[in-house]
Amino acid sequence: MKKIKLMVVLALVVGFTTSSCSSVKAYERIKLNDREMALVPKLSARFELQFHTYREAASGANGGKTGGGCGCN
Amino acid sequence: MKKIIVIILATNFSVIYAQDKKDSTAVEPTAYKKRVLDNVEVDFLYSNYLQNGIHGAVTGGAGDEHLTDNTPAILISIPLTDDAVLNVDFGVDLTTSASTDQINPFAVAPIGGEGDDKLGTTTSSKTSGIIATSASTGGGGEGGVPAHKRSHGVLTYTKTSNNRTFTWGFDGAFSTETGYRSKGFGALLRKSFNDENSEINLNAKAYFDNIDLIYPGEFRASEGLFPSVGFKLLDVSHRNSFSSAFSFSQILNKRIQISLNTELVYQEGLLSTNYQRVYFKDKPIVTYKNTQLAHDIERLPNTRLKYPVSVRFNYYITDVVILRTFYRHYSDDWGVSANTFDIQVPLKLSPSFTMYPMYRYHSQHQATYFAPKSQHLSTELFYTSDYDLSTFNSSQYGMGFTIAPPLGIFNLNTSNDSKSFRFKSFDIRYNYYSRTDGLDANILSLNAQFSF
Repeated sequence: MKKIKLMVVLALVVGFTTSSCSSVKAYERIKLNDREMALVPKLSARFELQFHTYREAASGANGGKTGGGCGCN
Repeated sequence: MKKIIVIILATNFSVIYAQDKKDSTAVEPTAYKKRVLDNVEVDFLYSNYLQNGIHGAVTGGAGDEHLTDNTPAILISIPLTDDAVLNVDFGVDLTTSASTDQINPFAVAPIGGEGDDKLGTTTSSKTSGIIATSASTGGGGEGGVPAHKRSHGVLTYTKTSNNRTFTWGFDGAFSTETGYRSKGFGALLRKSFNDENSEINLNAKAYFDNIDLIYPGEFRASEGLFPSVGFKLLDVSHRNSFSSAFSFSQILNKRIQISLNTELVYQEGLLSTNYQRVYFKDKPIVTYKNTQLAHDIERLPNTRLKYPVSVRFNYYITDVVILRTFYRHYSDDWGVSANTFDIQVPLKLSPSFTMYPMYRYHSQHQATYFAPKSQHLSTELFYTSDYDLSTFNSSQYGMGFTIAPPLGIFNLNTSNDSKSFRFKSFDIRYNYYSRTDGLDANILSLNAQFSF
């Protein structure tokens, strides 16, 4: 529990402090805008996320489904 | 724990509010405003999943886990105005499962008669060896095993501010399957700042599920076969889930961007599965028609709190090689802890064609309430022999291919009109999944995207 608290706090601290990084202009983001650079899972991976949610006790924090539906099979 | 939730939510809202206030003083465009979404976009998705294993939870942690799942889905994004978008997401899961027909292996129905229960229980069991007339009503299943159908949909509305730095939205969702119905609601906020180098996402969802209490055959009074002394019926038939997800993404330089993600999920209600059997080591096993009669059903606490934390790191190494990584640490108050690492290396073999090998590793420590078949004591308060809650490691590896030419596949767009039909991209991926407890699975997924 203590470890989780620490990680959450660390994540927030790192997040907000890095927001002051030097800015990359819109016209400099050709590579960052590539579809392979998206910070979310690909749409075609949604079923994998779903079966991971069902077959593993761990889930969440990845854009996957975290509720609704039984997943009993 | 409650303090942490309050702190995180308060921080999220205050940052979003502060940034919004700051940006509201910016000069907003008056002459030209780019639409959030130019065209209607349609994604067709399909997946085929095939699983095998030897630890079926319905049969108390020892039994066939063979399962197939076919999941077509369609996603439609419709621009309502320059600022607003409506997303429609609808899909169906068609599942055949060897364990489902073990819920009530004693049912006998006349030829052509109705099925025994709502899960399409059949007596054509693979493991019990009972030879009887099938009571299946599902149809379409594999090898006589009935298909279990789940329909699900989400409707999402989003609106973006004039300066395009703030988005809000809400959604409504439903999911319905045999013996289980779910409805959900959600809201989202997204704020970008620092010249859109940084972004905060806040997402809250609530699901309200209703469950039909279907017990294993030996615990049903209607069967009249095995009146089980001391069997306690469940008194809860709902499951509510509340989640709050927060993510912060940041561009580090022209080639690297990261995101940090946290989520809190609180569930209450019936969190066990009412037809999963449990066998105790301090009670004798009685067998009837080759089926071991359960001592009880799975019993689990009525609340659960999950708190995963994850990070994504994407690096455009060269014009050919890209690195996509994901790490998550998961914990909950049932004693489960897990670490998941995912890596993909997209190789851009041409501007239109990308090949991406991928690997995922998951290591999990079991729930406090898990024990293998016949290892629990009848004096325990909570117990399960569901191996999804056990200690295991899993590996998943596979390959994917994406075709996304700038002018669309087959260059079907023959006019200069940006609103004409276009086959934008096609993505196909295959993965093999293997768990150290013996479960393995193959999954093939497709995604075809069109715009109109």
